[in-house]
Amino acid sequence: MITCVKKAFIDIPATKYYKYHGLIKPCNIQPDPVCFLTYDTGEPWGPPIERTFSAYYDVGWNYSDFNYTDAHDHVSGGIYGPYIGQSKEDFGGGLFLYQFYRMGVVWDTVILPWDCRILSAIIQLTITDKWSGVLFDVVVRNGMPNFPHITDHIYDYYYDNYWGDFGRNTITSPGSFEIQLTEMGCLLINKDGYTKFALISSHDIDRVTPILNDTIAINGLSSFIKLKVVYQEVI
Amino acid sequence: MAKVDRITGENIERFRGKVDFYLWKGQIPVARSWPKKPSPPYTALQAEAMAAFSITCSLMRRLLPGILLAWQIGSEGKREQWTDSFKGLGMKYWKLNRGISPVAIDYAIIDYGLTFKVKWTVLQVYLDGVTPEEITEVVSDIITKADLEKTEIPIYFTLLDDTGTRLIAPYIGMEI
Repeated sequence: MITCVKKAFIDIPATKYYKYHGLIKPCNIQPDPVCFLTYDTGEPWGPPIERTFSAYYDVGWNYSDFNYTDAHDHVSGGIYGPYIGQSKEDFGGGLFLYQFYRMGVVWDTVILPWDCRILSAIIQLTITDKWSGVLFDVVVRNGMPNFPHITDHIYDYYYDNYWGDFGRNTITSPGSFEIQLTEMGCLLINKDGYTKFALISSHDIDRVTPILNDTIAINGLSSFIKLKVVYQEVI
Repeated sequence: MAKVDRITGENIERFRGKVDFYLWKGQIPVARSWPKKPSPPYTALQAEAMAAFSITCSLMRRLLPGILLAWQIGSEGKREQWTDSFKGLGMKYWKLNRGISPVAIDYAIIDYGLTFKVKWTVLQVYLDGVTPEEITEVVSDIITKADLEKTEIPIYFTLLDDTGTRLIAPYIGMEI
């Protein structure tokens, strides 16, 4: 677009004359002089900037019970390594132990300008182990501002602390693994402090009973848990 | 339309439904074919034009007070009201681009002392009725006041698209 500056008495109507049935008649019109100065006008955002954050803190929570629903809905869990998924262990005699693994990740994103516009964000992880052939999605859920905490906290395990689907991707063989945040997920990135998400198995969310050890292990080193943000600053 | 010598009651009754007699501007007796209201089915282009006109008219309600005042000031003393200009610009744009013109629903001057920028808030609505509307802020390059001080006043600014077609934005008087 162009902002155009015109020099004229635009507030005084000009007169156009025309002939009609042999009569010359005047007609008031708004003058439309040419622009004598023009200025390019575009969105007030600078070029895209990419910034990658390493995790400030990451944690896994785990809980197990012989009753699937009790284990799933338990309000607290043990502090564990960075695993995501659920498992079923046969104890014989029709007795099965169900275990749930959920993960919390925190990045310190305060360095982002408070008025920037986030274009996209990707969570980058590394899967180190995958035990069963069952495929599920790793789903990004939100519990901010309270959950998860930025230190070990057993009540962060509780399923109802988290909600939504702000990005998901189906697990792969061990190796690098990315989850693109949705538009709403990008809005959740905290420019004033910590950005925190829970990573939960889609089968856990959908209450699909596990078959075996339907779990993946994540490299818990902070430099392997990244949040790549592409944003624009106001010019 | 054709000029006639005089209009008589006899002629009016005789040609009712076929020829319409009236005084053009209350002075000149003229005759024209009996007016007919176009009735459906319209052509696709007519239907699109009607939709464009309807949408453009509805956008007048979206103007914020600052720019509405600029529109009203701009039409003072003119035969054409600002609403006519608004609709006219919208239909001119549609004729050229077959779409709804972006509408400046607000503006602000960002003053830096010796220079300033014009910030426009632009509403883009789409004719298909499916694509969600977009509101974006666009900012002009830096305008140096010294460049304008040399110019004879009054001066105005408005918003054009990249091809130089005027978008739906008023002429806004500039005070340096």
